[in-house]
Amino acid sequence: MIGQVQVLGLDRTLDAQYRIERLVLEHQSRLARYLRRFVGDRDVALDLTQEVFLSAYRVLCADPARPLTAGWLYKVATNRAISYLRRRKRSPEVATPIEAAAPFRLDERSAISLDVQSALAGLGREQLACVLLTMYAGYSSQEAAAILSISPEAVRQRVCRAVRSMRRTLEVPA
Amino acid sequence: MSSNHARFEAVAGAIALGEASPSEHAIFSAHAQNCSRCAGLERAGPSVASFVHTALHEETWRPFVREAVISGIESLHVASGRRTALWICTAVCVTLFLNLVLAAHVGLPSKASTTSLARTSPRQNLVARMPQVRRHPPRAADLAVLRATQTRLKPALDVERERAFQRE
Ligand SMILES: [Zn+2]
Repeated sequence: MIGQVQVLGLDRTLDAQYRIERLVLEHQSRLARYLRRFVGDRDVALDLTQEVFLSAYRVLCADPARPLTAGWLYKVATNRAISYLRRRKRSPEVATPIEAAAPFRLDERSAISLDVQSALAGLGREQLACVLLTMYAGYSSQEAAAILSISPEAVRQRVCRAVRSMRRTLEVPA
Repeated sequence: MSSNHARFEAVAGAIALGEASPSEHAIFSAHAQNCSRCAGLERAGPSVASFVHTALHEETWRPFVREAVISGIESLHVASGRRTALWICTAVCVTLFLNLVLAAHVGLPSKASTTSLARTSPRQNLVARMPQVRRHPPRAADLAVLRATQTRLKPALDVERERAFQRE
């Protein structure tokens, strides 16, 4: 009986590891980039991405039947990024501020990429989440609403307010 | 008024995301002509979205976290193994402590170690718990009475046996 339980436990762990590896291969790049845009720092983004996948692993070990979608990963990633930004705001020594310390390094040759990053830096956490989930990760307002646990109306309103702020930085003509 | 304006903002957001219907476009255009906050949003929204989208496609960073995730999973297992060992140690210590407390409470010799407790049989435990009878050294007078009784009883018994034999 104990042997059976142990075998089942091992089976469950191996299954979870296999599924996590597949999730990592499929989503690591997009998720890490999303998080880098969110927090503005590559190393922090990598740490947060790893945390997201470890959370997924814990969930799969506890409940192997649970389907983990990309939406679930983005939800956890968004929550982690928001908590990180909140912590950083409370104690600025947690990490160097985004744009101050050359976060988007030399490999970032695109002016648009840099402009977009400084425009994003001017947004509040909630607006940032809505803009990145819809315009960057490609979710509809309905899907983003489900990820953020708010209404689709609220997502669209936040996007509108974000656009108002970003168009000044991006110098979008009226 | 502000909740009414929030409705137009939601429509502007839908326009920026390319989710607005033609009728919503028309409603918002009519509103934006008379609203300084919304002026130009109809065109700015999709432009901003296209900037962000372009930035996504121009990403050159290729992040890999597979190794980090696997080592994270391994350290999770090590941590959980340590937790299990700690639990087992705690359980053993608590059991030993309770054993000692119980032994002291029931009246076993308090200096008895747990190993001697484990070795003693239930009978030995019972004997150990029985009240001790005080033993005195036999007095000389008592010994004399005992010997006399033994010598008196022995021949009487032999005579009895002999009579029984003859009867048979
Ligand atoms: Zn307006």
